[in-house]
Amino acid sequence: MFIMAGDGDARKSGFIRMKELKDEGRRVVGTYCSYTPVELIEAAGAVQATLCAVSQDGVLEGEKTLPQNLCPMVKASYGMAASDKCPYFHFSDMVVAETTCDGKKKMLEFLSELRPTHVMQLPQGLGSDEAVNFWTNEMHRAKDAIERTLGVEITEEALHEAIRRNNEERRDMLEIYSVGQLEPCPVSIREFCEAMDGAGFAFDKGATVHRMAERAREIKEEALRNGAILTGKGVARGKSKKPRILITGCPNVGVREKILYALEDAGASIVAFDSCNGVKTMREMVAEEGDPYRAMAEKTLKANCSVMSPNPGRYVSLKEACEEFGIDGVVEIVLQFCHTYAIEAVRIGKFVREELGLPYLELTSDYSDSDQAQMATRINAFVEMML
Amino acid sequence: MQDPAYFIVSFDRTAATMEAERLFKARGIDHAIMPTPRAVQASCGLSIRFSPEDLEQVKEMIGAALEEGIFHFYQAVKDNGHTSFQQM
Repeated sequence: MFIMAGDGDARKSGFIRMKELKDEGRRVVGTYCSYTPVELIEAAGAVQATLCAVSQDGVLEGEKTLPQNLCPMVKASYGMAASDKCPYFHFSDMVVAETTCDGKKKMLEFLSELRPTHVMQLPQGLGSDEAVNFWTNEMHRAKDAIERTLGVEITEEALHEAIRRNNEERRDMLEIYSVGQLEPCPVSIREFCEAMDGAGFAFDKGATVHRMAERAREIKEEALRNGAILTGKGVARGKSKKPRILITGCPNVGVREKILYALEDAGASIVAFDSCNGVKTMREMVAEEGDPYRAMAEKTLKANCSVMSPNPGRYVSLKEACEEFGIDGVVEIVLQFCHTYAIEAVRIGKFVREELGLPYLELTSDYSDSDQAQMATRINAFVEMML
Repeated sequence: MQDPAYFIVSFDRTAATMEAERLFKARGIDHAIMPTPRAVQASCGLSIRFSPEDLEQVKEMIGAALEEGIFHFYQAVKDNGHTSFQQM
């Protein structure tokens, strides 16, 4: 009901569209992370391609070069690129990435041998104005690198337009995510994930997301007419037939089947994402007045990723999301060997249980299916406890 | 045994797909690049679809230009609206 017609496997059909764009002479910039200033890429007239970091095939390829005891996302990113299995990487003219964690920044040294790679130096924390000043300067360096590598000019006018358009897209994404506020939630996690893929790999992402936002409004209106309620400030908590789950932690596309789909198969309803492919990065807009470079720096630094130390914003956004979406339980996904999310999970778990008064489950896993049964057991027990 | 509706050749590397496409175009052989069907391979990749009558020419062309092991031929058989792929 949510999926645009013909989007069966959006990631794969996106390959052909990307090739067509390249054949037309468009330049492609590959990215991995929410810290990347996508507005700069758009203002350069290039197409932004989110590069694959979610495939177990990629992990196995990555392990041919990189040590095994690394997060699967880092191994898969390199593996898909080095093996030339990812058409998006193949078509990329350059990559823009950030020194988010130790694994990522050392992997980027290898990746830069495959494609011109501009590495933005992310500050370690947000404790002072210096962090924002430093990151703003990194925005300027990224702009220079994109201009130099692609042989283009990024004008202030193009940048302001890209900021305005991306903010519209963020507002549309928030509208789509707000379907999760319905109780009962009429969109399954499978439908939702397919829809997100459809948006992420669409040729004209802005227009696709806009249509999906309009569809989201229709879905909400229909559900409300049929007796559904909108959650917020704890409304509906405990009243749902299916426990309402919020997902937090590491990027989770690589563990979709093993964890996300398994949660719904166990009888829960996933209604909110507080991970970087979720609500928390959509809420903050890039300021449309003033210095656009500082505005992009300020917005991206609000990602609340665990790579930042300290990371107080995460607790605020988690609490807000739990209230807004009437959450019954929190599941934190920690990718194996991710030190920052693993350590932060100790305090996040305590916060969720003691201050938010909610059940909390932390699942540490990789992209393989070797622990599928184990995950299913823990997931089933967690969901049953809430039923 | 049913006649194949079409053939595909899948590639383990994107560069090989692009090189193969250049060969198809140079020889004027009708073709279409497509994502490798999930029934052939769950993970990402590209394939080239072509007609049964061009099979021998395509096999000879790809075999001469690309290293063994990075391309794989499949025949697509349609049955009651469902397409299945058999590796050759």
